[in-house]
Amino acid sequence: MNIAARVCGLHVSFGARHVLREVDFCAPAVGVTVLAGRSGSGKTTLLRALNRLNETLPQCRTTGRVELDLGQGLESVYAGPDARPRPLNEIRRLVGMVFQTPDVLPVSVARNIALPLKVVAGVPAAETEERVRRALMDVGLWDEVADRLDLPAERLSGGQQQRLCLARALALDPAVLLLDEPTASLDVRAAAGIEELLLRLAARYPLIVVSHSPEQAVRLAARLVVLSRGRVRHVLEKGSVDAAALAALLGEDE
Amino acid sequence: MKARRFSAVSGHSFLRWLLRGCALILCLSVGGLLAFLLFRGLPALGTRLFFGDVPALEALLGRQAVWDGLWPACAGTACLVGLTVLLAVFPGVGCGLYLAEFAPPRRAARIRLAMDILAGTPSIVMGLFGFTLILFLRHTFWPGVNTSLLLAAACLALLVLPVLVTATCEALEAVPPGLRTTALALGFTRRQAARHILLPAAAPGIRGGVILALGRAAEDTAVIMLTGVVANAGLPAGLGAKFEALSFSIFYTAAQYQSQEELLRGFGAALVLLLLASGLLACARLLEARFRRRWQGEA
Repeated sequence: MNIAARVCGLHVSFGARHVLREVDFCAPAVGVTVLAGRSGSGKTTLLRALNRLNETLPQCRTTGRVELDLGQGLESVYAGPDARPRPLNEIRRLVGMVFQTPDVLPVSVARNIALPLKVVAGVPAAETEERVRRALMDVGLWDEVADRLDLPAERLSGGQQQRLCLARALALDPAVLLLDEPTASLDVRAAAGIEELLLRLAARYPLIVVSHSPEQAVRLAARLVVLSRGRVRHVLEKGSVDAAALAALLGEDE
Repeated sequence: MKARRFSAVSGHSFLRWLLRGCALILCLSVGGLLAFLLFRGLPALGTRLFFGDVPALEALLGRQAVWDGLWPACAGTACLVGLTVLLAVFPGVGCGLYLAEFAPPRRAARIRLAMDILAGTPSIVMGLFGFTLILFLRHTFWPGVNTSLLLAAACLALLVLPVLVTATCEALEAVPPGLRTTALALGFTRRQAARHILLPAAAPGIRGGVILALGRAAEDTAVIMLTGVVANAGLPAGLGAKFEALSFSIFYTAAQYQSQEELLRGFGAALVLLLLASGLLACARLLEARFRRRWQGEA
């Protein structure tokens, strides 16, 4: 099986607080890998270790290996004795990320996608419009916003904003997508829409999704990585566990 | 129980009235000031106040010099303020951006200390600094140099620099931290994030600083008194020339007036200065609104 991400012996600490210890896991190139665990188990930190976003926080120290397939086979994301990674901004561009609460830029709907395209990916102005349209169609938002592209993105509903964030990540042609509890701030219907979208996207992109809901984790996951207190406790394949059993696993060490 | 609730309610309404009173003091002061200025200044307002006996068109085109009106002072103040902002905006905003986004904490603390000292410098000291600078230059390698529009604007720029730096810094610090994380997660470098996301998002705050700086440059008299302003110079002839300014005209008239009519002209000048400052403010607002619409990509 092809691998999109491989993490070996990952250890992350902030000052004296150790958040992840000796974490090992692989994410397959096709399908959704769900990181599950109770709050404080280190899921988000693990996700942010993949695109080195932890480094924006003070006193962060990361050791161990993180390798991602960014288009040319597995390559190391962190510098090491035998590894010289790509520039950080390029890594982050190739690793799309969607946060828990929709974080649209305070600009119009179209410009939310066009601005990163222009600045980060250097896409010429002539192509931008088409790529914005394609990204919005990918997330099923085009029909809803086609006549409101010039409106501030903050005026969209929560679900629409989250899909816009996803479209913004997709427009940059990512090699991997990271999603940090992408439905946590949405109502049930919007959340179901996003889940459906993720399952559709999973055929094209490797997705690594953080979720704290056992039901959602079981619905989405091709592979489930269960974390507790900063360590990987179980790695489960699709069909080997149901929501009730997963809930029991998550509550195990309380 | 009832008594306590009553006292809580009355305390609450007392606080509300107190705060309302504070707001009232502000409105009354501004209203009183404006009414007084309008009452004394309006009768003097007219083409005669600006151009004296010279026909307006001739004066506006610069064909005929005005010696008995406010026109040269208006032009002088506009040039002075424009030049000051031109000189101060880039270093001011740049320094603010560096402090807020790039400077390591210890270096930032040192720069802030320097900024505080500069902010605490009285304007007359800044004027003296400019004056001694010219003396120094004259005695060393530039014998022909004299106090002028450029020197006054440079000293004023130094005076308003801390305002711009602080405003930029505060505006950037007020940008939601999530916006920074978003930009970095999308693959923006720190420089790109600052230029394309943070600065535009902080623009209203920076505009506030520019307006404060404009106002400060327009009203300051102490600095320019020692660095190039004179009571009668005509229209500013260039960067190296002496100039007139409204604030100095007001000061000069108030100190030296010999007739009631002359005093009225002083009030007229004050009113004109107020209008000029409001005009500049409106321009700044307009510019910022246009820039904002372009950044946000709205129609």
